[in-house]
Amino acid sequence: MVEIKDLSYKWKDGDKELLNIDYLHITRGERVFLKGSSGSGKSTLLNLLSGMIVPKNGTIKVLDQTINALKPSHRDVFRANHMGYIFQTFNLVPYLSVLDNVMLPIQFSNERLQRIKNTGIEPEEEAKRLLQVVGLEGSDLLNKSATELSVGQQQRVAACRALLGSPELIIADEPTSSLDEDAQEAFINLLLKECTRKQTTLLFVSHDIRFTKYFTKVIELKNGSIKELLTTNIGGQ
Amino acid sequence: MSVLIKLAFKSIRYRKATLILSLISVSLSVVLLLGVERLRSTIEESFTSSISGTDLIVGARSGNVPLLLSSIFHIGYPSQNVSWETYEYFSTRQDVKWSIPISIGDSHKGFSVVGTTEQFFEHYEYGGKLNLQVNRGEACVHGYECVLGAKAAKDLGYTVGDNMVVTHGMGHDEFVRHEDEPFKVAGILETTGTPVDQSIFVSIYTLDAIHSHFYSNSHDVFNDLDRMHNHAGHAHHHETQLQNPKALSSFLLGVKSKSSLLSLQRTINEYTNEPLTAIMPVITLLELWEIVKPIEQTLIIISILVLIIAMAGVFTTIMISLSDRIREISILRSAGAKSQHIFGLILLESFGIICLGIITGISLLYAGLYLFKPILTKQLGVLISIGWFSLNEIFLLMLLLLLGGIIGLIPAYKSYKNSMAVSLVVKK
Ligand SMILES: Nc1ncnc2c1ncn2[C@@H]1O[C@H](COP(=O)(O)OP(=O)(O)O)[C@@H](O)[C@H]1O
Ligand SMILES: [Mg+2]
Repeated sequence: MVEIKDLSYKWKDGDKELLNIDYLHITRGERVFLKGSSGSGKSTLLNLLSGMIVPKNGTIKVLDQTINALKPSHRDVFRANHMGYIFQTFNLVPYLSVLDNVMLPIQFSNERLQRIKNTGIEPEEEAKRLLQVVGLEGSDLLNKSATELSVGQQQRVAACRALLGSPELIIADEPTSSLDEDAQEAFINLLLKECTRKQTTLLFVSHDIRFTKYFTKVIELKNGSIKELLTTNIGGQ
Repeated sequence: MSVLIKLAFKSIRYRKATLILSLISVSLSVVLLLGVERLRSTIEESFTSSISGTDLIVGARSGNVPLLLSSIFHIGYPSQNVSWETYEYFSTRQDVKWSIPISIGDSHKGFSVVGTTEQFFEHYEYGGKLNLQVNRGEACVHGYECVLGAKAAKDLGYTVGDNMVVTHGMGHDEFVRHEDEPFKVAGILETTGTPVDQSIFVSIYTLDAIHSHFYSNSHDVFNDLDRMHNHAGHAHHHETQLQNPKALSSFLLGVKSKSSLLSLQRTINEYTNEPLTAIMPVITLLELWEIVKPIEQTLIIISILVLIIAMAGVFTTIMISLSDRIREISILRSAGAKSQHIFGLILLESFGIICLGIITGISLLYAGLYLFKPILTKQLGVLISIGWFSLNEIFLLMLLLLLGGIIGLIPAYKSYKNSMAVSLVVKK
């Protein structure tokens, strides 16, 4: 699913290398917990994976595509079709309703729209279903502006958006750190449940090691390189 | 594309507080720019079209512009007259097709009284070769009959058949009233948008008779007043004993062939019996317009400056909001929007605001024109046309759109570049 080889990255020329990853492999359907201290380069790594930035050296393969070799516009299309992204906070477009926020990816990706249609469900129904799974329902709430929601609700909407249209890879960059403890637990469980249901690969960044137990693979980013702390064989490739 | 329009629309609605300010400033500057342009073109048009078809205007020796102003616009009056013999000499020349004698200097309740003959209604042309049309009654200035311009008739409230009295001297100063010479309104002309509208036409013979009656060599105002009372009973019987006037203010000529025009003009200018000036109205009108031009250009420049300031306002608003929108842009990017989408979104928004401002401005302008047209016509005597856009205005609108496009492109390009470079790292 994801394969990184001989990757090195620095933001500015003259800096010392922020990332120096010889090899990282993530199997399809794996749920990966990525930890690391603040500033260690976790978000930078996610940016590389999503193709928002490209490395000078090394290869990054996602779904057998070497994304750092793609043209920028193709990388954009690839990201739109195959990845869902959740940020730490402020995930929602303020001028769109809750429902419109969730539906956003299928505005830009035909492939994700098609995937929903292939299951015989209307896109809007699928969006509502996902929202219901995370405990958000009622036309009142769905038509609310995104800014009227609590932080916890906003994060759940963001998860729904990332999941809609079943992208193969979900990238969550510290999505729980702005939530209180109970909400964190609930959020992770919901996310994992949906990912399992659809065989989605999840790359989850957090420094809260209480949650490692839910993941099949735990890796740490330290001094620029990846250390595998735990790998459970899940079958797969 | 429809996604972008929807997004842009919602985003504009979300930011309406600041954007409405931009919208107002753009639309007001559009109103100003187009309004000034329309006023300018209206004035220029009614100005340059106030006389056409007349080949030469002849008066006593003076500057070209003063002669035009006094004979056509009734602004000021010549200090010297032209003798009737000279008028007859030139109007009967072989190469002259028609002539109109003009005597000015009298007024009635603020409207200038023009002494002339029926030739005036036959040969005077304005605009693109338009003849004077009679609205009511007939264009007859025999004896004590007079013909009123449209505005004069309307403002004074006269209709055909009414009696009126003429005052000597310009303006409202009714120092000497020709009370015993009441005129009867024979006809009222159609609106022309030229000084004709504000004129009262009487027979040049009658006018001269009145003048000689009051300003004989032994002119005495008190005597006049006495005589006025004595004459009260038989005021209408002058017309039979009318003679040729001694003098006139100026005359208009039409030539048979344009090729003789220049030599005729030279002949008149070099006439030795009497110092004369002959002008071609077309050329002098342009001369006159050149005098007015700096004013109109200043107006245009001011409104363009206002427009630029408004556009700069829109530009800064968008640029400032851009830094607030880096997060929004990364959200959209993470949800699958391409860099081009971001470019399109920002362009649509800024361009959209400017277009909306232009449309609002045009609507405001037209609403204003409809509202203020009667006042403008009444106060300034200009007939603003509320027609479709003129070529100039379309050019200005194109310029605005172009400017709007450029102003939209800069932030759009900046955010495009940004979204290429911006990582999905959300800054805390
Ligand atoms: N867009 C950027 N431009 C330049 N430097 C950046 C950028 N984003 C992050 N960095 C730098 O890269 C380093 C790692 O940041 P980040 O990947 O956000 O770490 P983490 O997510 O692990 O906290 C930090 O020193 C940060 O300053
Ligand atoms: Mg981070």
